[in-house]
Amino acid sequence: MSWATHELENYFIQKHTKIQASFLAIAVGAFAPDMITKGFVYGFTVGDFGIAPPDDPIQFHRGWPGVGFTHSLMFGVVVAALVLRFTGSRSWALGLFIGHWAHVITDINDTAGTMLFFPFSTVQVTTGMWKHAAYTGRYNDAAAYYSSPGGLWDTFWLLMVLLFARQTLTKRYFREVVVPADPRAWAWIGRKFRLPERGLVALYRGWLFYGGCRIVAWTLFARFRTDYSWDPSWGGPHYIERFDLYGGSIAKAMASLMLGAALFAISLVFAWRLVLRRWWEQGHDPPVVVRHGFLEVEPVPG
Amino acid sequence: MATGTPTSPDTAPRRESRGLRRLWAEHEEGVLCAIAVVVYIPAGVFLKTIVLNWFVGITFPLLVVYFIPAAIRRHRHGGVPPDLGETAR
Repeated sequence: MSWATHELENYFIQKHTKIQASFLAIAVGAFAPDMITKGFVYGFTVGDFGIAPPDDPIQFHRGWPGVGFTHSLMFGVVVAALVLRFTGSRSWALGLFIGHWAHVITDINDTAGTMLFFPFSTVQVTTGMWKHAAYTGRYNDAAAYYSSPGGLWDTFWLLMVLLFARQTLTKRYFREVVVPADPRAWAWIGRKFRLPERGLVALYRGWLFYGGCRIVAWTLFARFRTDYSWDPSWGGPHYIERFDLYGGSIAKAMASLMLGAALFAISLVFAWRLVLRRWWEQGHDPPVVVRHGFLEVEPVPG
Repeated sequence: MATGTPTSPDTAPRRESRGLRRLWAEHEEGVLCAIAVVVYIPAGVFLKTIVLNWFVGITFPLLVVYFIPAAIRRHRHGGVPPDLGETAR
């Protein structure tokens, strides 16, 4: 799993997709695969109530049986399609779709990988760049991740945002691109919490703040408060045991993946022709607004 | 021999104060963001569970950059809400 990339890539995607996708939806989509599942992976306690971690956290998080289907491309399509059907919002459907796929594709870099073509193939796709160490518990997982190429991967994305998507952090970009792509949601947050533009911009920049700060904080924790040594070699850290979810041969895995990819593509074409195109045409873009205020959301009369 | 307009002894500090205020007005958000970073990272290292989670992480700059300055301004102005820009309609 990636620890900070899911927060950082939102700005980059928003800038480079050139389509009216809601930033908030991209952020929710990027959280979606871990939103309900991650707490159970480590286990948690609230007062007297507690949930123990599963016997096999990696299988639970990325496998089938388990909740690994949340890390499949099809899950993103289904969630986005349902949002499009029941809200009619194209910018939210697109944002969820893009954010979710970005998360799923990013997560192929750890040794657990993701079942990209579930339900047509349950083989995990992985580059094996760093170890998936969820079975060691949250703190050790973080220490292992920031001792591996994962920490470099997060830093790479932080630099990408700061170097190539810097203007997405400006008030002007927020006012002219981010708000018009999702005026109702930003206006709702503004009204609900009585936030003027300055507060909303601070909230918008919060994803970068959180992503950047957690890279530094977890790296400091890993370097100075644990005895984990830095091992940025491919597949590191090598003192963490590797567990592969797929135990078959490479040839069999490749065959399953190719079949899964083909069936996935065919199902997408059918879904588009049968229902998705109709839902898309029935949906709506963000309203064109009268600019009395920076968050005026009344549609243009006539 | 002294030339120009005579100045009172406290003019220079006032000018300096005005300069500082202008500087603060121009860079307030940047300075507050830097303060947020400097506070959040050590807090995160020592209070991992409480601080290093997405809710606190994402809303922390909102607290430092908007809510705390707004509360200070309100306190200074005797409870009158500060004008920090347009609000949503």
